[in-house]
Amino acid sequence: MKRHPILLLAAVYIAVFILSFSIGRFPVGPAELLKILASRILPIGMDWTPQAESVVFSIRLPRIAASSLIGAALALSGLVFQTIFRNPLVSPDVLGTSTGAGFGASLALLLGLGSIGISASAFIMGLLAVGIVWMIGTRVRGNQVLGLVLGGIMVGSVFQSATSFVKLVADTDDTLPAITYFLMGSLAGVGTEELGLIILPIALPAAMLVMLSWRIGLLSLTEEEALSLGVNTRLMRAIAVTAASLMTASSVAVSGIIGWVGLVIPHITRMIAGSDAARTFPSSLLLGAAFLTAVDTLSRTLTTSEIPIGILTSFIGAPFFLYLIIREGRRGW
Amino acid sequence: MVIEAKGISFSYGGRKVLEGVSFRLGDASLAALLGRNGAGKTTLLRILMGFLRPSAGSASADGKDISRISPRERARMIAYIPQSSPIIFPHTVRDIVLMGRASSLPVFSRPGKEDERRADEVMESLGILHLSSRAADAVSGGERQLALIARALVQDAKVLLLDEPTSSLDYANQLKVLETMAELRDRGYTVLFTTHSPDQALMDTDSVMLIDDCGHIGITDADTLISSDRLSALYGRKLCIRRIDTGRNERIACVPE
Repeated sequence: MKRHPILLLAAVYIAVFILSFSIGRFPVGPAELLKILASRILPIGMDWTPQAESVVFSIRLPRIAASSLIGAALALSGLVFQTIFRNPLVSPDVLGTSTGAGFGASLALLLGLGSIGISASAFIMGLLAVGIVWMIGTRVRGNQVLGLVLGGIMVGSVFQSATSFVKLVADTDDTLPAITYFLMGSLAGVGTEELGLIILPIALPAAMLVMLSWRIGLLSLTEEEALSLGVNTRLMRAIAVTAASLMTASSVAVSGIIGWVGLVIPHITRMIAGSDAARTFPSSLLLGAAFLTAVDTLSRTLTTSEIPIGILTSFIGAPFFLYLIIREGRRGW
Repeated sequence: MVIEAKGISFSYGGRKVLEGVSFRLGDASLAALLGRNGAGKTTLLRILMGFLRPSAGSASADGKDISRISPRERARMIAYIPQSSPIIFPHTVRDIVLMGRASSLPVFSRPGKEDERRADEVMESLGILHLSSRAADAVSGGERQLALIARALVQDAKVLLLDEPTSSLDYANQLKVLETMAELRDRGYTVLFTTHSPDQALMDTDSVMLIDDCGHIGITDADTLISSDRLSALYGRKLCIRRIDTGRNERIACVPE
């Protein structure tokens, strides 16, 4: 499995992708789905209902594309943060990026800014949060990782309070519910427009990270070891933090805070693909996409009204993380 | 490759650690660096690696000032094996060795077939090829140390700096690492290692450097040390240094009086 993780995970992703179309209020079977998708490029006679076509292109495809994109983004950014901070316990949530981005989005909602305003605000605040944590972590004497984690808790708490303040002053009739629902994390409101907004800020950094994966992986060594191997550690770390923060902040900007993906998926990726970043980076994209698409399918089908996906990812992620702590703890972190 | 220190001084805060350190190590030489705890052994290695800038003086490799060359260029001249290399993610031994190719590869690429062949060749020469697909946290300390040496060798640098390479190893593994360093010297490498053991510093080395508590360095060799009390002065204990005929060769032992 460690030899061809990418092929295996690609197969898993394709299976989840097809399955996700066939589950829901208007199921579209695999054969029908393939025909409908292929009809856009091949001359195929239409033997399906217009309703099925509209479900595929207007409802399910944007949603599945969004869950794939966001799942991939959260998984890879978590993996990148774990690599460069040399700690398997950090994630975009731990470092305050998500909380910062959540505050940015809430603020934009309060101020009535449009979807571009929400994304921009989420991104800037997410980057600001990780920047502050970085500054704290690098100035701590001794255990730098502890400094980062404590800095993340501190910065996360400040942004959390700032978000609470925004909620406090928000209009209780429309703005407050919008903010609250947004922060729970959901893909329900993601349409083609939102998708268009995040596709580049996620795809470009992801491509950059995959291309630089092997070299970024060297940052999991100590600073001096990486330097002694000839790695420009400052530049690589700056690229990695910016790219991962851009992906996290873009995800939060349209889907709210979907926790745990960035922590748990990197662990499962390493179990499947080993530790070489050149293999784990692309693998985490596929696994993250498959995971979030599967969970999102559950979130829209489990009950009659939709369950925000952030609630489900923590129900699944938290116990799994406990299992990892017990399992990995024996090996000694 | 020649590595040279000229009048290097260094202080941490107000505390002088190194004072006017000068020495020159040529091709195919094996040198040991002895000194008490906190004497500045690691500091000196870190200056030679360009991680720290000396407050006075300079370090150079083949005449090039180490603090003025890029990490990439430096990595092709000098390889560094740190005292400990904590394992955060369980890379395989082969993955670790391949990391040594970083300075030879373009930024956007990863090691290819040719790099893997090089890594296998080096692992074979150090007798660890059979461990190549094992996780680094599933091999012994000695094997891990050899993997780090292999990583340094695929770097194609001609100078190897090792910080206490034997400190956490059992006796057999200590000997294996010491013998490996001597073999590398015979293959033309310039090798400098730090150690707390006078016996190791006297075993098969070409020169021994002593850092005293005032940060001065004396460069000497085993023959001189036998007939002087410099080691006793360094450690503040009366030490006896004797040649011992093992039947096959002659070794030098250092014992307290």
